[in-house]
Amino acid sequence: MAQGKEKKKQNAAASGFGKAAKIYFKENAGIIVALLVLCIFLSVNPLTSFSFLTQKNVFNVLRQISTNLYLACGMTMVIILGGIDLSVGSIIALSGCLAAGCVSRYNLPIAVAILVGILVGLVVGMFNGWVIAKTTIPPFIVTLATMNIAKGLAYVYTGGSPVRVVTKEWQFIGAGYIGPVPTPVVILVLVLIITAIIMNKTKLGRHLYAVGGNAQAAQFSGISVAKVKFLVHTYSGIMAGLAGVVLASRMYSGQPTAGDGAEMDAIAAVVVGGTSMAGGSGKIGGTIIGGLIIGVLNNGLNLMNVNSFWQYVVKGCVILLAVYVDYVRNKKSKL
Amino acid sequence: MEKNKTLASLQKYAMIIALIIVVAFFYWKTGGKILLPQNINNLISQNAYVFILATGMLLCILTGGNIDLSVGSVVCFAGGVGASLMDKGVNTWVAVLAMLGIGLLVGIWHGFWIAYVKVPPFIATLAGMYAFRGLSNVVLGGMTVSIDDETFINVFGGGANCYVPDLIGNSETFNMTCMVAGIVAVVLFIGLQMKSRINSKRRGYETEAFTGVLVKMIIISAVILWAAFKLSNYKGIPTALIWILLVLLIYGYVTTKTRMGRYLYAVGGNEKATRLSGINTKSVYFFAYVNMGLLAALAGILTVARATSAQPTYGQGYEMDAIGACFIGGASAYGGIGTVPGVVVGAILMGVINQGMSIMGMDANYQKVVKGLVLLIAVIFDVVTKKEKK
Repeated sequence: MAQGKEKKKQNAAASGFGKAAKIYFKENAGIIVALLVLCIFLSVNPLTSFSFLTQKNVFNVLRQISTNLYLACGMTMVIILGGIDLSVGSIIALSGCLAAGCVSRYNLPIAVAILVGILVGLVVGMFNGWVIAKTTIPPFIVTLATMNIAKGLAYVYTGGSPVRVVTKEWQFIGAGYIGPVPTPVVILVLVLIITAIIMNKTKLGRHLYAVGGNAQAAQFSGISVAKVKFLVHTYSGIMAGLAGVVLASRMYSGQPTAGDGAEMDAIAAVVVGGTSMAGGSGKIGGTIIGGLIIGVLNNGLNLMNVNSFWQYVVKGCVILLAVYVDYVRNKKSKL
Repeated sequence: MEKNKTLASLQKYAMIIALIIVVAFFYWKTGGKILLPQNINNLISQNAYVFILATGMLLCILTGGNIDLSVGSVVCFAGGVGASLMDKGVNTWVAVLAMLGIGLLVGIWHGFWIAYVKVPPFIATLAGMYAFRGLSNVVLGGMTVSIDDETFINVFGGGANCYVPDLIGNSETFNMTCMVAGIVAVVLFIGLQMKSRINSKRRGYETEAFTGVLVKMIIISAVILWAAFKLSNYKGIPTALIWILLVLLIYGYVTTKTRMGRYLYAVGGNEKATRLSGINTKSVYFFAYVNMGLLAALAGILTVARATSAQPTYGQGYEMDAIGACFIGGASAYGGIGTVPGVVVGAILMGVINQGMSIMGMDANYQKVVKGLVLLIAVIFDVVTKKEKK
């Protein structure tokens, strides 16, 4: 009897998981197909077939995707809130330079340097969140201002040249491995789990969707809108700080030019992943696939030797296309 | 009540007061250098792009706090295309038309996505910011292309000697034409002000107290005369000033006297109400962004003419100058509020900050930080003073 019950439970759990997977594939069918087509194209295309599926390249792509997905985790929440965070690219530069500076200029332990980098992100994110929560200034203006301030500070701190780090251990977080897996990928898995828990299992997550869907209604039902805004922007800042540290470790140096255009890749991943720019809806699962698509696309363009300037043009068009698809979908559902 | 009144007047003239404080600060810091005739001249010709981009940005901001992040890249792209065309020996005016055409196409491209597909403007123009920066690199091949087309440089105010020739006087050290133009401008200004005042009095509209208007007129006239005097002492009217004035007059007229101008304010004030009163709001957004594209191209022409070359890095951060100038000039981050004269004050303030920091030999990176802070302060000031009013 008891055994039967147990079995039933297991079955239910298994079918529950199967169901979730089914829903997941159904929801993201379009972008999963797009990702597969992109991968198949790159594996058969004679220009890239010899390099695309090599272990080196796959690890490389995963590393690149990792930093972008850290940002995208924060950006997904910010965009669900109906806002945007343009400052993440500059936070990468500032946190990377300061963290690298801690190691090479002040001889601090690496753990402290990593913490300092993440703290930089935290502080800028808190500032963004504080201004956005306390005033009614549109988020893109606030983050545009902090984008310039953080970038300027990164240049001021470094004097425009990279801060090199020769300590070997410094490379672990960005270029090292845990077992056979690159460290940034391990961090990515942790970040994704944390973000998924925050968004799906916590009060903050539920409030996030409520505020994004209708801020006024959320306020009237007793949710502290200001607090949600503050926390979400702070989280986005922390993610950007982390990305900055990982990137600085991978490049063996903190560079003031690092993170140029990173906000664009993060927004692209989120929007391609099906999060609506209008706010209130979106899932981290979609963002993961969006990040994979952007990463593979970047990598494919690199392998095909496409001028990096054209890559910006391609990425701009991908974002517009994704927003357009969202627009058409919304229109249909309204009719 | 009394407190409210002082607050209101403080808010109204806050930006003028800020301008005076900033000028005084740089006057002290640069040992008076900032007010030398040559620097007044540079203030105008080096910051011509701020005036022109800010005017275009005002149209976008009026429609509901929408901004255009791509202007810097469009400046570079239009300028780059023109420079490469002239480098290949294409006729000057064909090249100028091509540049304006590019601005128009860029404007149509952004306008289409923003007005008809409802892509949030900062996303559409962020994509444009990277896309057009990429295209400028492609066009210029990542290199500097120099411009040696004499007509182009002379007409658009580049190089060392692009001034309106002195037609009246023949003194070496004092440009009579410039001074006379300044006096004529003041007479016209006072005449127009009086005329509109008399008109609104006759129709029974409420008018401001006469003393206030008089003080305002005297101050503005004095500033114009003083600037004309300084410029006369240098080399006269810089050609770029003509283009700035042209743009300001056209768009000052468009925003205050035309139907489209009123629609811009209406859409920014309440988009839904405007749409329900039968106005095609989509065409209003479209209009704003097409004009922004066109003005960005004109700013591109002035920028490459001034530098007599085009580089793929030109125009970086110009969007900050333009957006900053608008918000300093009293435009609201929610749209529906803002005027061309306000933008002029904002652009002058932005220009003084640019110029002052350059003369002080301040690191270009600090300038970035300062500009970010200025933008933030201007917007916070706007939001906070509005809150007090409520």
